Amino acid sequence: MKLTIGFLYGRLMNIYGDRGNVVTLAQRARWRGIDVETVTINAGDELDPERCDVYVFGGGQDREQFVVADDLAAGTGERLTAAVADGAVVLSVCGGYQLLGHYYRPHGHDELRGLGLIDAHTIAGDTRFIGNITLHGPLGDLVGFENHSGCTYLGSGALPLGTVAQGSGNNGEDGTEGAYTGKVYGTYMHGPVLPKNPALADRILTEALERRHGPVTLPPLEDTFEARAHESARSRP
Amino acid sequence: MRFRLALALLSGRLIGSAARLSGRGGGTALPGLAANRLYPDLLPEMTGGIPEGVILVSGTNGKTTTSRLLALMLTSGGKRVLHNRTGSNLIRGIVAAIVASSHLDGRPVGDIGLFETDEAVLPVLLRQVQPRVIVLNNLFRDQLDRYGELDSLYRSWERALTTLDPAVHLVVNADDPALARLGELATGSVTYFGLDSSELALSELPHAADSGACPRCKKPLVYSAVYVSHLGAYHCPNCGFSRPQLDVRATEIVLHGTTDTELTLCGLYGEHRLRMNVPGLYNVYNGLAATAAAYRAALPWDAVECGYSGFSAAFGRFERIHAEGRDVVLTLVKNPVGCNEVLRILSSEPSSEPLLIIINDQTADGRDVSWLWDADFELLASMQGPIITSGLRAADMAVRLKYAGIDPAQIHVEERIRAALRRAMEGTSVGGTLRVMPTYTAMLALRAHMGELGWVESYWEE
Ligand SMILES: [Zn+2]
Repeated sequence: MKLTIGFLYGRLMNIYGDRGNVVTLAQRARWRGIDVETVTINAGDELDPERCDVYVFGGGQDREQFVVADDLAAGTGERLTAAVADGAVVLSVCGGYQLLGHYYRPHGHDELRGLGLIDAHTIAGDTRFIGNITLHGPLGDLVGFENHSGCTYLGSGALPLGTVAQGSGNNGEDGTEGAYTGKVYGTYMHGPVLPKNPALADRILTEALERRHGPVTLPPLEDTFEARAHESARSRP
Repeated sequence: MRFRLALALLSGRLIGSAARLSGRGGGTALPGLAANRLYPDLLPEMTGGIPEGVILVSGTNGKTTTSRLLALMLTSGGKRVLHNRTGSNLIRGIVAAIVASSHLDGRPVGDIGLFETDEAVLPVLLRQVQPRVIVLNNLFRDQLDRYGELDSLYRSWERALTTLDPAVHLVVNADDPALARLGELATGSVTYFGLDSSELALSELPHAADSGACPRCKKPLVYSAVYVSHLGAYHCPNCGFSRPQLDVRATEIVLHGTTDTELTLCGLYGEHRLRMNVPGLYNVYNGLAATAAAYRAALPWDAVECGYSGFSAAFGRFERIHAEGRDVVLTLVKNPVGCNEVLRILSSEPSSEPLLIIINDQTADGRDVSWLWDADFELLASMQGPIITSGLRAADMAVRLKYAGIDPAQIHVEERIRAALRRAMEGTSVGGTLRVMPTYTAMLALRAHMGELGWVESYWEE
């Protein structure tokens, strides 16, 4: 079996260790004997909708996000949308998450059009939400570190990843954090999110492999360190 | 008015002595706070009275090393230096340093002021102090959860530095594109320093590097050499922005593991082969920054050379401690860029002795530990010895190492620092070297424990 991971705007959108999500998917596949190829897709590169099984789209600062929004509008967005329609998985974090919604309205800049892959929109807020975050949800309990001032509001077409137990989440108001629609995931959780939440990593991995290989069942891995890191994150307010 | 100033100086000094007597290390913040409150114009008035002016050193990494080296050079040149040596680099720390060395009538004791300045504080300080020289080392993403985003820090530097009196001279790291851009926009004159040692260049920007976008037009930069993170030789194919001509540069650099570095210094003072008693490419940048500032302070070459030869590692930077027949080398890690430099140095010296990594996530360390994933721990994959992870985030570190390709059987998690140190020492052979990489608060805890064991002075004094 082979897995191809696309690191979307890996050069521009890789703040707070988001690359760790790529490393985690790759290693958890390799440890199960799956061949892995990682492709970084930078601004100006042509995204081939056929090529990658899963895309990791990290966060960046406003300046980088403007460049990325332009590049998405210049064709990459359409091709990514086609890849999703064909069964590719997307994990987006922070800035990436904001650009997968309908739009992002930053301070002092025109609204950035998003891809609308997640039924949500984001408005720049005045409060910065910084700190460890934990949530309960349908995909299990998740932990991460959030650092954002954008406030994201979900529409009826997106489900939150969970309910915030500690931290602020999507907007600091409605108690939700992140979103998913089909195989498209968005979250504000850095940390990075996957290493300390191996069940979520394996869910994404399974869905990514299914694109080409049909239903797969991944054998379990030894996750002692991961579980311990999850617990220590949970215990740090 | 004079009376009020004297009162401020006196009370600052009394509070300082009280803090020292109570045995609390440093005690540097309180006297500054108190004196500044009693006499808010203390900073502009007092710095204005320093005969040869003030040098400020700022940037994310290397402030302390650069200013200590520069202080040695200035002292070797016969100058009395008014310096915030303890590294307390916020306004109150600078005020405290001034309070501690001035006559009560307000005359500062010292020929020249040298203030290491926190990068977020620099724009604030510039509203109160007109320096003679400002040294800009570099700007990295560091402790973003404390300061907000790097962009806003950069913009505040830009506002502050483009409205300076043209008489203020800048010393700028030309290898940092954002700083080179500030140099281009500056009103005053600029001295540029950088590396010219292509054999040490990396082939591509490391993961921890900042975006690599042109600071003038935002399009991607092209690097012909990358030295540390985003520092290197670059140009922008779109708008023509490029690394400025170097006024002083380091060539033919040879890194000798965790001990020292050789280099040839070219420009300003002619050409000289030098040995620095500190390791790593980073310190070459610090050396260049200090050299350029020394030149702008009109120091002769022999004072500069004297500074270099008298220099040694500062607290927590490859500091070597001898204990129980073994050497313990301590190296502070605080962000991915510095950490990469340490990993590069460690992996250049093959060893089967243990490595102890202690990661805390308290405020002074930065609450966010995701930076561990921006550092290239993959460099340790060939390491033979055990790796013990400790501190509040010991498990996070273990996960990071596992995903970096290190055999989980080699990784041992021990959150408690004392127990981890004990275990690591027992695993180190007699005559061998234990390498320890702690974050800031972990370093303090470790030093305190080593003090109790009698390995180091229990009270850390500069
Ligand atoms: Zn340009």
